[in-house]
Amino acid sequence: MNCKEVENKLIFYIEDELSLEFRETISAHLKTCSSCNALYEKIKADIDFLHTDKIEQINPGFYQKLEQKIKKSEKEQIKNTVKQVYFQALAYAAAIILAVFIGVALGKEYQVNEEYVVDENENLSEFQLFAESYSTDMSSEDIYEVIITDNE
Amino acid sequence: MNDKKLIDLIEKNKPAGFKNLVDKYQRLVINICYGFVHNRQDAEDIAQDVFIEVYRSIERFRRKSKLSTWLYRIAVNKSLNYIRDNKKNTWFQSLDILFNENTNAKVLEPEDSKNNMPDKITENKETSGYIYEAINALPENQQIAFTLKKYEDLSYKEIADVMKLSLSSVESLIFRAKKNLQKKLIEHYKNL
Repeated sequence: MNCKEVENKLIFYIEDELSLEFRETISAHLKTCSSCNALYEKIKADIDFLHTDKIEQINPGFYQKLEQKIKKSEKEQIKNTVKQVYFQALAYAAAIILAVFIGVALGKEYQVNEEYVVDENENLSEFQLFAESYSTDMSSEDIYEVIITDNE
Repeated sequence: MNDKKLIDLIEKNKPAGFKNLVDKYQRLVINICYGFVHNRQDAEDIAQDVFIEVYRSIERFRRKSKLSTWLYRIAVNKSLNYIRDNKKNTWFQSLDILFNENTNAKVLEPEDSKNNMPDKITENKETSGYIYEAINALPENQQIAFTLKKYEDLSYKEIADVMKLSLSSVESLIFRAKKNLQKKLIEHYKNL
């Protein structure tokens, strides 16, 4: 096995994840190759360091600090909810007022202009006027009454 | 107290049940966050946000998944959001400096990152701390799978549940994460 092949398997050799055959071959190479052995020592130190790199002692004030933060965040949450409700109500009120103003403004645009009011009778023809006046004066006559009187 | 009893207790008495939940899971959640941000103070701050979200939404927890899986998921999401926000802030700081010469804002330079390293790295002379940079440079899904494996030693099945992926996808992600890390670390040490 040459240096390149050893380098490709070094981390797995350190982690003891190779077959017995590969392990023995690499062990033999490391005994004779000082540069590969130096690399092995450095990388092994790094990997071993990770195994020990842990926080064992917890800060005794951890829970107290956490409790304070939770209380603070709860207060802020309530504040934010109140703010949200307040702003929502304000936004709705503003929207309603705006809608009323827009309604009033648009209503003004469509106000009835007296100049353009047309006398309905003005455009009627003489014949129509005559017919209308005649029909309104005539009292309605029941058809059955007419039939009865004819028979008599 | 097992998770079922814990949830029952929260339903009956929220403050007492929640305290039990925090006591049981705080170390786990902090370490998950630490695995992503590599800074104790930041990890604790993110963990606090995780528990605040848990407090607000515990009623919505459906009991379909394990409580720990649910917590891991929230912790991973909060940590990734924190990293994204930090990147954005750094970008805006850079812009600020570019357009405003008189600003006091200061972008974190690579040299500064060594000064900000956790105490454990400065104590540990065997490691250069480059491993953090290499992990952070991984694609997001590979980073999540690798971090859950390395920092919490979760099983592939648990990681699959947290990430909502199949078992084979998680195996593939972790394999590729290791390959990428190996490549980056070898390049780094050869160029030293």
